[in-house]
This record gives sequence, structure tokens and C-alpha cells, in this order.
Amino acid sequence: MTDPTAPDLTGEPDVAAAELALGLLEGPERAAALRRTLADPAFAREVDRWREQFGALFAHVPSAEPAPHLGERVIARLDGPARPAPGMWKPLAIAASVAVAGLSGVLLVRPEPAAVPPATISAPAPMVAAFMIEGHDAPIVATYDSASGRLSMPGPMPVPAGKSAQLWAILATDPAPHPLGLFHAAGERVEADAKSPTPMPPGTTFAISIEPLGGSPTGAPTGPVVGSATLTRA
Amino acid sequence: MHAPSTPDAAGARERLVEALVATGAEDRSAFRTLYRLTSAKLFGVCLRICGDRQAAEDVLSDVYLTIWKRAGAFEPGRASPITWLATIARNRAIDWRRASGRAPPARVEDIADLADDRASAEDVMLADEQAGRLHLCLDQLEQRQRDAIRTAFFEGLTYGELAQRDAVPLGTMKSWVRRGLLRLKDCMSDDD
Repeated sequence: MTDPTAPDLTGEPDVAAAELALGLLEGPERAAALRRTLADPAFAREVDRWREQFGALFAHVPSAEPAPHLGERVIARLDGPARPAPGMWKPLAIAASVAVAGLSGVLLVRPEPAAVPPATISAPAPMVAAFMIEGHDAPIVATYDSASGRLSMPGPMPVPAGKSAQLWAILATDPAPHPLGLFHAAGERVEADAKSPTPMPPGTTFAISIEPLGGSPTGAPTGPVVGSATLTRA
Repeated sequence: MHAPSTPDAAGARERLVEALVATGAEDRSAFRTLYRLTSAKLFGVCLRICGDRQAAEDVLSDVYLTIWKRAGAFEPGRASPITWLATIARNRAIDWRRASGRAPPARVEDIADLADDRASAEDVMLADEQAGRLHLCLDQLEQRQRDAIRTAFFEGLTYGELAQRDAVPLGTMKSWVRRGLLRLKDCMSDDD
């Protein structure tokens, strides 16, 4: 930001959509561009358009044959743990329904007394994500335990009546948000399942959106984004 | 290289869209077809970014599991099927490289015209779609802008990694590339 050689781009047309499609951005710039894809459909479409256009370059990447048994191995894994079953929301939906008595339409995912022990962060190098949540001035620091794939932060979290708060990950170069779990109470904290088939590296952006009860029906965020954060090493 | 639309390419695209849409409905036999049609291309993409076969095969498995999960979100009217699939492969491979802390693969400038040598049906499809305009517009950029944009695409490098590779300040690299992308944007939107 204070790089003296950085050009002053104020007023220049912006190419963030192309930068995001190419995966050029890192850190706060990337997080800002990702937030735009969630908040601004026209921008998201522009990112898609760039991705399509650059996609023509894939013709220049030579094909190569993977090991012959790989296809069968993949097919054997289709029902494995990496495949979220259609019922994956169930335990989370129950947690969301715990919060069915709210004030003026706003519910809280309340701590369930002694129901679940608070998350213990036992991974050798836990990662953290400081969420900027709408309506909060100070960031709320979540811990991410890559071993258990759990994201945990101080509760309670405000959720409108009849809705769920869903966690999304936007991996290093893929502007498409990956759906993760719904927030549910865990002791004094709220937690969401944040398991991912590949390890989530520092720099991954998390976002929280408000979705229909049980989570987004489409696999993409459908409701307003109320918070976002970048994963960093603790 | 800028192949006109051929029945072959149209047929290949149609078969692929069909397999992808059916995969979205959890049709395993369609998924097998999809794998057969696309695994060599997608493995090529993973191999280029990961740099070693074992890692590329692990990533490729994840890529197809991701495709199995996300195929239902593919919209035939909005995206070309091979670009949609190859983008998942590219992104997963880049995620892997960053998570594993590997350095980007060695610089390669040798992939300019490979598509001409071994044009599969997928390549013809890709050549068909946007390539003519994109190549034309990339050719109008300064060499260093073109190189940086191509390297970012093929190797998945960020501004920071590009700057390091070329030993120039980050701001300089950003400035080059941003100007290049601006020109590209103007050029691509001409006579739309």
C-alpha cells in the first residue's frame, strides 16, 4: 500500500475482475475483490466473463494421461466422506432451530448450556480469521482448527428468524465460494464445520451469509453477506 | 489455430455438456464418460501447475470429486463446459501448490503453439470459442505485459510471485499488468 513505486490508480478504470479471474491478487486486495463478487452481481458476472475468455488459453496446455487406475479410484471415492450427503445440513439445522425464540425478528444462536464442550484447539499451528461482522465495530476473531475442520468464534451470532448463518470459503484462486457448514452453538461459542477436500491455506477468505433455514439450496450464497475474514496463521 | 466452428467441435461440446449435466444429477455412468472425455486435458492442467505426477494425480482426484459435487451448478448457457472443468483443475492445483509451500514451477515460455500440434476435440472446442479474439488482443500488448499475463494464467502466479520472478518491485509489476489488462479489456470489448 505504501510501495513508493505503486502507480496511483485513482480514477483509472478498474481491472479487479480480470485480476481475480487470473488469481493475481493476494491478501486484503483479494479479500476486497472477493467481497465484491459476493455483493455485486455485475462484478461477479465480469469475473465469470474474464474466466471464460482466459479459458481459451487452456488449449495451449498439453494434455497428459493420468495413471490408468485413477478413474476407478475416483469413482470408488464418490460416496466417501468427501461427498457431502444431501442430509449434511441436518444437525446444523437442528442447532439453528434451537434459536426459535427471538426478539423483534432477530434470533441468536445461543450457547446451549453444557451441551457441547467448547472447541479445543489442539492443532500445533492453529489459524485465525478476524471477521468483520456487520453491526460490530471490532473484529471477531475466529479460530480454525485444520485438523478437525472446525471454525469457532465467540457467540452469540445474530441470525434472523427462520434463517441460518452459513460459512463459505473462497480458496486462493477460485472466486466461486465453497459452501461450508451452518453456524451452531457450542458452549459460549458458535461453530461451523469448515472441512475442505484440500487443506485451506492462509489467505483463504471466509464469508458468512444469511441463508434459508438449513443452508443455501443452490450451493452458492443466496442471501446477504454479513461478515468476511481472511485466514492467517496465529 | 483460430479454427472455425466445425461439426466435430460442436458435437464434442454437446457430448460434454450432456455428460456434465447428467453428472449434476448424480449419474455415475455420465461421470465415467466425463472422466474419459476430459481427464487427459485436466491432468495436463494439474501437471503443469503442480510440477510432479504424484501430486498432480492427487489433485486430479480431488478435482473430479469437486466436479461430482459441483456439476449441478454448471449452467450450460453461461459457461463453456471445458473451460468450467479446466478452471476447477487449475484452481485446485494452485491451491495445492500454495498449501504445500512449493515454489512455482520453472519459467516456461514454450507453450505458445502446442495446441496446433496435438489438437484434441477439447482443444478445437477451446480454439473455437474465444481464442481468436484473445490472441489478437494479447498480441497487441507489450511483450512484458503479455508474458506476465500468460505466466499468471499458466502457472497460477500472483503479483507478488511475478514480481519476485522478474526481480522487479511489486508496484512496477502491478502497474505493467494493470495497464495490460486495461488494454486487453478495451480490445476484447471492441465491436462486441
